[in-house]
Amino acid sequence: MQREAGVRVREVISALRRLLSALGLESVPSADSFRRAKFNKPDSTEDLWKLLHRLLMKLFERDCTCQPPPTSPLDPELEFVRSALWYTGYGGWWVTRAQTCKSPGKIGSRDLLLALGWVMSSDNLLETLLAEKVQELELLSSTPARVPGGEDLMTCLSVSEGGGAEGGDVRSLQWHYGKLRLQWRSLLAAQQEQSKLCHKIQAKMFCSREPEVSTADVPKRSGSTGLQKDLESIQCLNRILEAYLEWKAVEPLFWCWMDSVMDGHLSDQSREKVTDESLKDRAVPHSCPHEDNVRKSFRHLNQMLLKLQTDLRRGRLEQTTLTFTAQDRSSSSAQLSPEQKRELERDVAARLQGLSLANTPTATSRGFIPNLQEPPAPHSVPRLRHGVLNQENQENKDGTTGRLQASAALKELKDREAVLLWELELLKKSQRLEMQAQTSALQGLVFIPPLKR
Amino acid sequence: MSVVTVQLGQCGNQIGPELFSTVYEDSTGAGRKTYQESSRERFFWETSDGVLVARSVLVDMEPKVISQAVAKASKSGKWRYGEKAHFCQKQGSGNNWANGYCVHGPRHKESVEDLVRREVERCDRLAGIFAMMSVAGGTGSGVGTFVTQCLRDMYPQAFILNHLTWPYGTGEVIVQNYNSVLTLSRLYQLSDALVVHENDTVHKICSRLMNIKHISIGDINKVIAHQLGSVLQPAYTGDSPSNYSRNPIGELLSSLVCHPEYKLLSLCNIPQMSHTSLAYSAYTWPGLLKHLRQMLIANARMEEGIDWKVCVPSSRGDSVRTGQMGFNRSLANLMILRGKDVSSADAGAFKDPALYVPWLPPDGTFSLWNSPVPFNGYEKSASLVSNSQSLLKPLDNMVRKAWNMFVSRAYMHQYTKFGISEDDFLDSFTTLEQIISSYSHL
Amino acid sequence: MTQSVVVQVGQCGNQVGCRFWDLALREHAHVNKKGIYDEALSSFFQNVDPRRSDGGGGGATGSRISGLRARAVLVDMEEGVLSEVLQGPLRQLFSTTQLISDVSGSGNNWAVGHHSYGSVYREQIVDQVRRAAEQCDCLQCFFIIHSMGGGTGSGLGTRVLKLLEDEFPEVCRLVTAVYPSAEDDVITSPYNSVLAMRELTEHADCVLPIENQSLVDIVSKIQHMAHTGKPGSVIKKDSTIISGQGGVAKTEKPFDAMNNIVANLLLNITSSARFEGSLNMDLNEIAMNLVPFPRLHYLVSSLTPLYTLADVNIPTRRLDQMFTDAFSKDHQLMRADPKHNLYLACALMLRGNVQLSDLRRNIERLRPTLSFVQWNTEGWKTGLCSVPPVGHTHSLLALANNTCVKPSFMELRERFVRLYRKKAHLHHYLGVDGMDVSGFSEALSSLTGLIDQYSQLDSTNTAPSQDPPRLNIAC
Repeated sequence: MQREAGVRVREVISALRRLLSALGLESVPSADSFRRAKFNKPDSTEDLWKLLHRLLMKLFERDCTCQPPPTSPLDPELEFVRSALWYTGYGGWWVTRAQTCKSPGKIGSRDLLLALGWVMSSDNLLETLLAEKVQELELLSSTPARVPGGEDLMTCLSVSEGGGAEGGDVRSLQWHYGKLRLQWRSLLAAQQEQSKLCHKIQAKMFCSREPEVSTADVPKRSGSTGLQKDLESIQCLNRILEAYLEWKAVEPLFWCWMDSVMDGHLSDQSREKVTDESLKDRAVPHSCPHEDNVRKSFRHLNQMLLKLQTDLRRGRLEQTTLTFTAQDRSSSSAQLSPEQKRELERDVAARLQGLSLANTPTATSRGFIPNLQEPPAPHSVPRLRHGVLNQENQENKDGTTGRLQASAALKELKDREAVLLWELELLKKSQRLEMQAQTSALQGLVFIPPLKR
Repeated sequence: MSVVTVQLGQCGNQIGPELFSTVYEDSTGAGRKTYQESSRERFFWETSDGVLVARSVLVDMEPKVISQAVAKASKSGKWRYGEKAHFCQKQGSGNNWANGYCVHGPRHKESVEDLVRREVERCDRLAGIFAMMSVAGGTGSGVGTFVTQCLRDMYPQAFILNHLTWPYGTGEVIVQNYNSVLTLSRLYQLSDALVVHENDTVHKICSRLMNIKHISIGDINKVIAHQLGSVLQPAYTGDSPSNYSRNPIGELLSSLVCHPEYKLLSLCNIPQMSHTSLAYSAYTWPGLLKHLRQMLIANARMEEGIDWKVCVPSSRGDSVRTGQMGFNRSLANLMILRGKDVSSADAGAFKDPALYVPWLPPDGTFSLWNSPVPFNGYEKSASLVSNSQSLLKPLDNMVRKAWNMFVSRAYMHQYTKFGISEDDFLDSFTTLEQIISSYSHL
Repeated sequence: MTQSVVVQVGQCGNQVGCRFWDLALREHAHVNKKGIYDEALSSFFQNVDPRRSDGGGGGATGSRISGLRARAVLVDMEEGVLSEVLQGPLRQLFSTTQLISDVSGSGNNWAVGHHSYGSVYREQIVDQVRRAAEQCDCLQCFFIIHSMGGGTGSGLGTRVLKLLEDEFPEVCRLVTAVYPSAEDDVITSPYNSVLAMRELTEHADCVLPIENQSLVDIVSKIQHMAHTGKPGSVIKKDSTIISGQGGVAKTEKPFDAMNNIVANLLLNITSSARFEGSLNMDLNEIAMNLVPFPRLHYLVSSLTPLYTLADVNIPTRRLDQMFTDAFSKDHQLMRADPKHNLYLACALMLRGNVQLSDLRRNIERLRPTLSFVQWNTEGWKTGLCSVPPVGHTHSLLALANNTCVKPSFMELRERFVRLYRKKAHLHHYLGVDGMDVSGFSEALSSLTGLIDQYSQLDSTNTAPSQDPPRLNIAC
């Protein structure tokens, strides 16, 4: 029994490792490192530290342009990890009490593993990374690099006003509208090509049941480098999707395992004296100017882009189903029966669609935005903030998560951020303590860390 | 990324094989692997035993021209047409647009659609459909219009580009102006853009630039194929500056024909000469571009006999006066440069806002593509695809002549016989007068 | 590839027809050296197994020629000409069922041919035509050949025309009608011609009117020049246009030279449909381009080179001369002068070594010398066929829809009216079942209407030409 569970855990961990490396993380620690970290072995500290650091870097690097002040006596790597964890709401001892820990080596490998689990669970880490990767790969092949935005229209409007030609403004608007339509059709064509290639790969995998083979077996007939590149990116995307699906299948087991890690941690901790130190002694020594305008506008653009893409994909889905049905009429030579093919095509289309839809909201959760969907105990929140939060919740219900919520919250809470975080931390801590008390009281009850959202 | 060509009627089926020969010879002769591969993928597919087959569908209502085209391609030994990629009947449309559009087209709709669908499905990505036809006869114009309509219904989002050969002002088909009016008015609503070659101008190129004594239809078609090839062969574009564009037709359209009322594209290139004089000629980019620019503004389709007195009006008020002096105003231009030192060529002179309508932003009117590979034996060559007033005059002439005939109701019985009524004619005239008016008031 | 069926009616029709078959065989034998039954050959001939009587059994196109049969129906109400055919060298081209004849003739009476024989032989003729049509892959055109002066040709010929219209409405009907000269020995020929013309005007798609007199003039001119051998004049001793040399028939009969010209006209008009060319001109394009108004479908034809008057040894000048001649009065197969009358439309059908640029150059050159109707100032239709006629490097057939036919028609009306006023010979016609006097008045008014239409067009040309106002677009 014990042995069997061990084997499963190994499987789970390797699924996670595959996914992480597919997402572009280098040198993911071995399954053994994970296992050893559970028992807080110091030899896996370094591996896990690297993983955590890289993960957080990946998560925040685009947003964070600031450098720690050069005068800071602390290790910049440690500082970064700490502040990042702080923002995700992690309250491990080495994060909250800066002076107790001066170097990463001092942190136990189990602590790092727990932090990793926390980040994974609370911030949609894997989904965010997946979305980024998918976006990156898809952008490779979709042609119009420049998404025509309002700027074009603004210039054209101002030109026509300046020109003063009669009817000129209408014609120029028509021209721009036409241009947009043509570019949209270009995009459609690119997407169609992509789904066609995707379908080819799928068909291959369906026959051979060997994902690795698909890479080598893709028809070399089309020599063009561009096509090859696209093909590669699609294959890459496909690998990631595979890894993610695999991971999703075993994810519950991972959390069970994390529970056992937590158990071990708590039983060790209970032996030590828990000293609740003053929270004035905070871990984040300098504030990171993450709310700078560049980042804000970047996020804004990103959201618009994603929204556009989702719309496009929705349109394309109809299109592809049409194409596929059209194809079916004549493709009798293929090895698959038309039924199987149709099923596969639907599958691919639905997967792409689902992916795109799933990716859209995650963009808002990326970065150092305080996660407001679950407001911490509103009773202690000052009156002023009440209104804002209610408003936000309402928006959530309307399905307009994203832009409004993020920007409004940023604006409103900029100056009260510290207080809020402090309250959040406090609450989390008390909750954890309470939970700890309860779990230790009841035997056989499994403690599952707070899931996302 | 591939272009599917549909060759319609006698004219389309004569120019088609010339175009495929031209792109084949050009891409093979260049000796550049990527260029060749990209061009091959665009125009051909390869059978399992390595034979290149044109991505083309041949449609005609009588068999002679198609069998000539198929035989000519097979005889080349380098490429061929698809074995089952052609459709023909026994009896032509008799120069009657109505016969082609109302009788032959609907009767053979499914067969033609099947051929096109098969060819489209062979492409991983359909860059666009290129339909070639004349506007004068019955099959190219009538069946061609009907087929374009079917294509639009089958592929509502695909890029459809029609290549139209306009007849000589005199003497090809007597009802050519009727057929042209009916064709143009409908294609204007179906196609994304109409690339036009006038037989008269191409004939002049053959006689004055190519020095051909006895000009045959084949000579005319070769020049047309050369010019088309210079546009359609792989190039680096604005959206794809370091790889050969994978969306050439889409990019061509979005840089030139965004407005539904302005869809007429003319084509000119420089230099163009006989192969014997080619060996003794040397050109510089500034020289070529200077000529090409003057060709554009003076509306000359060839480098000989350009009116150098025509100049760009300095202010808007001027343009009315210079309009009479022969200044050709553009909406948008696309220049394609091919050959040696292409990156050193300075196209700044084409960006002058005074060349263009005032209501478009200056950065959206001119696009430049290039390729370092010399085209079709020319060390340096420049082509210009232009959405400008240059076709206004021939279009106006065409409509005027057709209208004169229509007023006397001559030949009407030939059309009503097949179900095209006087009202249909009136609708077509209205559409074309609207287009003429739009281009006149640039 | 499309096919055509020839229906030849009456003495003249059959004589012209037989010359056509002879020359067509000569032309194909010249082009087709391998003895393969090709597409071109199939347009007028059927490949049959000569051992079978039902007219089948021959291979399809691409196989060897086993036996050729003309796609034709021969009709005459006298035995003479047809029995000659059956005994002559062309006999293998026809099976006896294709020949329909009677013994007593029509007595130069249109009514007898049209009504009496028309009713009696109606079924038989339709049967034979249908049989010929069924042997065709894609029947495009009927060529009907008959004279206008006699009784059988004009009467039964035009009856056949009507039958074809009823039975095969989709198939184009092209009539070659030989008009009698003014000094014709048949006294009733004006009646016959005018009665026949009404039928032609109403039921034909195109009519190629040919005047006997023009043929006589051309032949005598050629013979005169050949014999006098005027220094500098260039004429082939045996111009293939009038001689049957190389054909199957060895002996020349009196009208052969004249009939050969008509036969050549038919060969040239179908050449583009039979052979390859860079600018094909199908038979159905003729009516489409040359007939702006349904009744005005009389096309004046001219064949060149027939003979040349000027010394032209330089090839291009010789070529240009061919174009010039095609518009001269002396080369028309009708006594008419298109150059000084109004063109409604004009077709140039070229064969042989002629390039597009030659064509363009000559159109540009000749255009100013010709007057075209105001709404069709550039009414040219052109065809280029790469196979020249036997014995020539190139040839030109010009077809003109021109008001120059009007004088001939007026003259014909004149002669008709002269007879009709005196009621001369009227009783011969009115005695025939189905014929009454209104037939005459209606035929006369039909001809008058036709002449008026031409006059009207002529009168528009005198008014200063001005473009009609165009549609206005409100901006």
